[in-house]
Amino acid sequence: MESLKRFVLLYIKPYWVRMAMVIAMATITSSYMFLLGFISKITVDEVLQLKPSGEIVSDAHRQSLIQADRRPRRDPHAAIPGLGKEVTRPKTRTEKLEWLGWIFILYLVVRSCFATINWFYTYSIAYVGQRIVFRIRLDLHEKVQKLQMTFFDRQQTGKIMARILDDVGLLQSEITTTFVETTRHVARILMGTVILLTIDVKLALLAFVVLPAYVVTYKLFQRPIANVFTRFREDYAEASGFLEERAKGIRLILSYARERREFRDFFRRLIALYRLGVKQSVLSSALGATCSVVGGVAMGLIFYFGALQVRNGMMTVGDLIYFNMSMGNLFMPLVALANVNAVLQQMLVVISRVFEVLDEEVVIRDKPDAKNLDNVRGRVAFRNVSFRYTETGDYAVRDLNFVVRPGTSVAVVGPSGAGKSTLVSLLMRLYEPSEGKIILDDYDIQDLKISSLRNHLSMVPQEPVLFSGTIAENIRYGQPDTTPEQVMDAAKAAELHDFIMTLPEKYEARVEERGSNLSGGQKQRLAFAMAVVTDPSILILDDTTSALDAKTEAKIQQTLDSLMEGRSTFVITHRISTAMRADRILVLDNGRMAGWGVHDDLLSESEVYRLLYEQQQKQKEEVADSYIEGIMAMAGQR
Amino acid sequence: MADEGNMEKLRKLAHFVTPYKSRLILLLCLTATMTTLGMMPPLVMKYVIDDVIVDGNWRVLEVLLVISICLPIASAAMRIAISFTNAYVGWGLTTQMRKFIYEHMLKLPMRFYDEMGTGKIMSRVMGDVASVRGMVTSRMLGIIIDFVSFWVALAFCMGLNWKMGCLLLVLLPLYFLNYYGWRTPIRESISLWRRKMDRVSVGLQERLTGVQLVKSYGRERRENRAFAEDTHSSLDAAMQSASHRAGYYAGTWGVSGFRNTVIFCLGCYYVIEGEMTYGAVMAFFSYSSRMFQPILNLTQIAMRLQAVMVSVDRILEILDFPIEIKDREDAVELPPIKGHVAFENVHFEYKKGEPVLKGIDLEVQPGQMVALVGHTGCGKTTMTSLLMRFFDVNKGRISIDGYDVRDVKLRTLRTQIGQVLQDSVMFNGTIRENLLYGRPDATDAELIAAARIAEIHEFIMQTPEGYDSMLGNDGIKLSVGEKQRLAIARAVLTDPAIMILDEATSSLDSLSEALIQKAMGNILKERTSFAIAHRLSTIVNADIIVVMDHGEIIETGTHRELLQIPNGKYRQLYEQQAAGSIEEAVEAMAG
Ligand SMILES: Nc1ncnc2c1ncn2[C@@H]1O[C@H](COP(=O)(O)OP(=O)(O)OP(=O)(O)O)[C@@H](O)[C@H]1O
Ligand SMILES: Nc1ncnc2c1ncn2[C@@H]1O[C@H](COP(=O)(O)OP(=O)(O)OP(=O)(O)O)[C@@H](O)[C@H]1O
Ligand SMILES: [Mg+2]
Ligand SMILES: [Mg+2]
Repeated sequence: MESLKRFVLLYIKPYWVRMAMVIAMATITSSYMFLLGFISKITVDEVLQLKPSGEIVSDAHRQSLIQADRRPRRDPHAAIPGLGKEVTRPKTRTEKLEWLGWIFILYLVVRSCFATINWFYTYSIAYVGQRIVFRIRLDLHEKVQKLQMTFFDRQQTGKIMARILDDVGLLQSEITTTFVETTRHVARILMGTVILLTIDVKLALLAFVVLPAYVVTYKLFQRPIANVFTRFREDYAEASGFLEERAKGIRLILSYARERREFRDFFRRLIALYRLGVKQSVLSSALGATCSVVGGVAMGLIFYFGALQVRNGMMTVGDLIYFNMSMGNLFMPLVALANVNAVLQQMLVVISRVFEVLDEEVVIRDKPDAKNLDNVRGRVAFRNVSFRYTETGDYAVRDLNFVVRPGTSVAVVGPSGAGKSTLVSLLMRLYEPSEGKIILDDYDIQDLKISSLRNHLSMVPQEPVLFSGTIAENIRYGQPDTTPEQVMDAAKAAELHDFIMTLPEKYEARVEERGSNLSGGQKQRLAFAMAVVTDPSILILDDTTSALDAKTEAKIQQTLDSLMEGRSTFVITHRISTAMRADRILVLDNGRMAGWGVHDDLLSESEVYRLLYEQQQKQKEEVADSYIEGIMAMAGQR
Repeated sequence: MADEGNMEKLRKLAHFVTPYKSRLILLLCLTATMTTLGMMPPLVMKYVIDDVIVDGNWRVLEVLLVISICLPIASAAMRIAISFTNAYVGWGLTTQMRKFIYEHMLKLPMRFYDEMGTGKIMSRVMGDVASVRGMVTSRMLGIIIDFVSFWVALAFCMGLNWKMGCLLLVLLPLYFLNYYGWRTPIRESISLWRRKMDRVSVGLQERLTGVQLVKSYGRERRENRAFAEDTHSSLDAAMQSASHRAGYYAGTWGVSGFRNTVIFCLGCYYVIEGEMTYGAVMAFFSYSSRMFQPILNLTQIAMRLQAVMVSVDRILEILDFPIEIKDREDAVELPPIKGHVAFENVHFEYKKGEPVLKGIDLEVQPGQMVALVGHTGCGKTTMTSLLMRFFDVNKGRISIDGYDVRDVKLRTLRTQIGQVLQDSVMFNGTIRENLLYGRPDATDAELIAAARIAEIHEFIMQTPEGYDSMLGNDGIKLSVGEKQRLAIARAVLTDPAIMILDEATSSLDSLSEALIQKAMGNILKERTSFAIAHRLSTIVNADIIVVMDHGEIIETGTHRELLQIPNGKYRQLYEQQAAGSIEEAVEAMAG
């Protein structure tokens, strides 16, 4: 209920004018059936003048009974209530027909008024509903964009999507209708109560006896319905997540010929959904059915007693018809409310799922007095920085302490899993250090505006990320206002230009999702071009040449040398030859610093570095030896 | 209402319904009974007013009471039964459809995944199927019921007063007029809306997957804006369709209102004239709305059908996607591979007119190790994909032990070839599940042996729950090198006859790489293997080195042979990469 209140305040309140209008219209339309009932009553009593013929109760007797009851209003021969005393009932056929003519017009007017109101009502409900859903989606999206990487580490993309699209889509069709219909139903019930009481108190009281039965029925069904629905939504998100992952990893499935098993796994999930789905519909229809039994039995009884009342002359036939129509109008909303209740339970589940995301704590955010950096010199200092991905896990990096002077380059080397990528993610503030500080120029990066920080830093991620779109769009991603020339320069710097020119559409060639129609090296170079084009103050390269052949790598290395000039650069690499080109080398091992300095010093100071170097030296020698061997063999042949 | 093309499409989906035939018939009977029961109350009412009250036949009243109490109880019981059967059929149908689509999807060529994109696939399998279910269970069935109740109600009406009954028939076309007027705008706006939503979902999916990139470039604000734009345009489309629908409903309300007014007043006129009793008028009134309800439903179904047809189309888009790569009718089991592989004049293109492989000829003897080298994008990965038969060659043929890969059962082909992909993919699940992916029945000892070969055993043992640690979204995330090593272990575990290593160690440090290479060397000794690598140290020991350039093989041979080609591509490549060390070595020799 708490979340419902928040929901109303947050999303419905902004549309309160429309909402009030809609509710007003709902209230008006709720009187529709009562009005029609009243018209029927008048027609029956005043125009048609139907009277019960009693075997037991004589006409005279009835007259006296009515007199004794002192309820002249019930006398069919008295003046018509509401139309003034001076109008008397029609007697002749022509008079009756004339009356009927008026009733025809009245009826038509009422009906067309309501058709118009209904039109406006339907439209407005859609209007408000769509807009609310729009707002929720925007908020969810904005929130998700703000959330730190740890959130995405935990959540499957498919699951987040199921929330933003499917869950909220459910809200769209139901939420406003539910709210408004509820008011409409309540209005009907209130109106019905009053009307029933004015027609016949005894009968009305009898009708109200059934109300508690409704309440009990609701209560009985409320919890199970909500439970099943929650589980259903969760399983649904689960299945979406599964599907999404498989669609992405299709190559793996195919290469292990695992189709059959995959298929069984998915089927298992579908069966779970199936069970919950059936349960859900049966529960809600059981609720509806129970309510309609209660209502139907009550209606039967009341009609019976009503007929007896008529026989006793306590009511006119018109009254009975009017009472009957009004009562239908009282019970119908009660049944509907039961359904609304079921829907509401479901909506509450969806709403709380929405708030679950919206309430997720944004750990990495701008401080209130966060600064904007206009210029970055490029001094980076890590002070006792430690970080672990989860509260309980091992430290991914520990006690990092080093200072990078402005404009110099640092190579980060170390075994796989040592924490190299983690280090640069911390610098980008994708994660927040668990302990320690990272200083950029003179500021703790936590005191800077995130957008300002990330504008000055560009990172080429280890696994290239590309979006579907054209090549040019991808290159421009970080800097949308780039000119075509700049895009081309970047592509040239990334040694991609020649390849692009071989494509029929050149820079406008399509890149599919995740770059699936490009080769590994092409993806990597495209990601590189994306970073180069932003001309960042600090450039971070996370093992960006791993998928490149020697020739291309050498060319890119040249570009890099000029890019690195006067620019602080972090280069993560596994090749010592690349590392040696940097001003400083940082050696990481198992999350700790295992060396910091220049190549020659590290050879004697850092065990890990020496091992890595020696290994590569050995490989090089092998290569050189085999070369010489080859050349000698050739010379020998000549 | 549905034109020919639609019927054709629906027929395609019809076989999903066949297994539920008996249930559907049951459902039909139940619903028909319930509809008939639903016809009773107006009659009861008529008797109460005409016979009991006006004619004074009071004794019948008790009977009528009993009837009117029994009716709702009976129909409630029916209702639960119907809803159960309905849910059973509906959900069964959804499950079958999703299952079938997924099964079909797994058979589709890679091209399908490239073109469709994950977001679209998901919205089809999840969303569209649900909307088709709604149509089939609640609506299709409704059509038949409606048909019955229309005629029954019409009969009642005619019985009560044939003149008014005829009048009703005259009013009938008004509904259709209204329907036809709104049909096209509604259909168009709905399909527009669907397209917009598709866009939203595709965009969202990609941005969420690439969230790291979004963040690194500080693009959150702009992504928000883009999302807002997309959603907003879907909102516009939704509002358009809502306003059309509101118009349509207003039209039907108008017509209904007119109809009711006319009937009521005309009925009253007949009462005055003494041609009808008032009870009969009321009953007629009820029946007339029961008669028109089916018409309304029908037009509504037709409206809905427009929306559902869009879903059907989208589902068929998957189901009709040709399965390009499939077992031939006469496909044979590929016997245990000895390891002879031949590419004969292989031509291949992903897109028409953009050849990627242009006449590849290559013969590999059993047990040989082939190294594929060449600049990026020259077609190395493509060659291995063809061998795995992810794609079919456009010209030429690829054979293993003399069997054309197109003539053997896919399963027997792929399970015998192990491949470490260029991008390592892991699924949500434990480390063990991921490692056992290719061979679920491997023992723990084998598992650990494979992990040792891939140099990942120690890392796994460091994780909190060892081999049972969860990976991915529910558990630990891995560094790229760790993923690569897991992928190697996974492939090694399947003990394949042919091994393909596509830059399998590119993200590893040289120490682990050397260790893995040594361990792998033992395994690969008597197997055919393909290695794609850019580091020469991996290549020099290969039995055949294949140098590729723009989709052609320009040199093949052993390391020695290739070095002897003056100005050969391989030699250039080699000298370039080994430049420093060669000089050193030459100097050392000279010295
Ligand atoms: N699914 C695809 N659809 C369309 N074109 C593709 C697809 N996959 C690859 N290509 C194109 O085919 C060519 C060869 O790609 P391939 O992946 O075989 O290169 P590669 O030699 O493996 O390169 P790398 O060393 O960079 O991985 C490239 O130009 C690439 O753009
Ligand atoms: N998102 C994450 N959540 C939890 N643990 C992580 C996450 N990313 C990495 N790790 C763990 O943190 C450690 C360091 O990972 P990192 O990616 O920094 O290694 P790396 O040095 O870049 O290795 P590689 O050379 O293989 O890329 C690894 O043991 C890894 O398993
Ligand atoms: Mg890394
Ligand atoms: Mg490749």
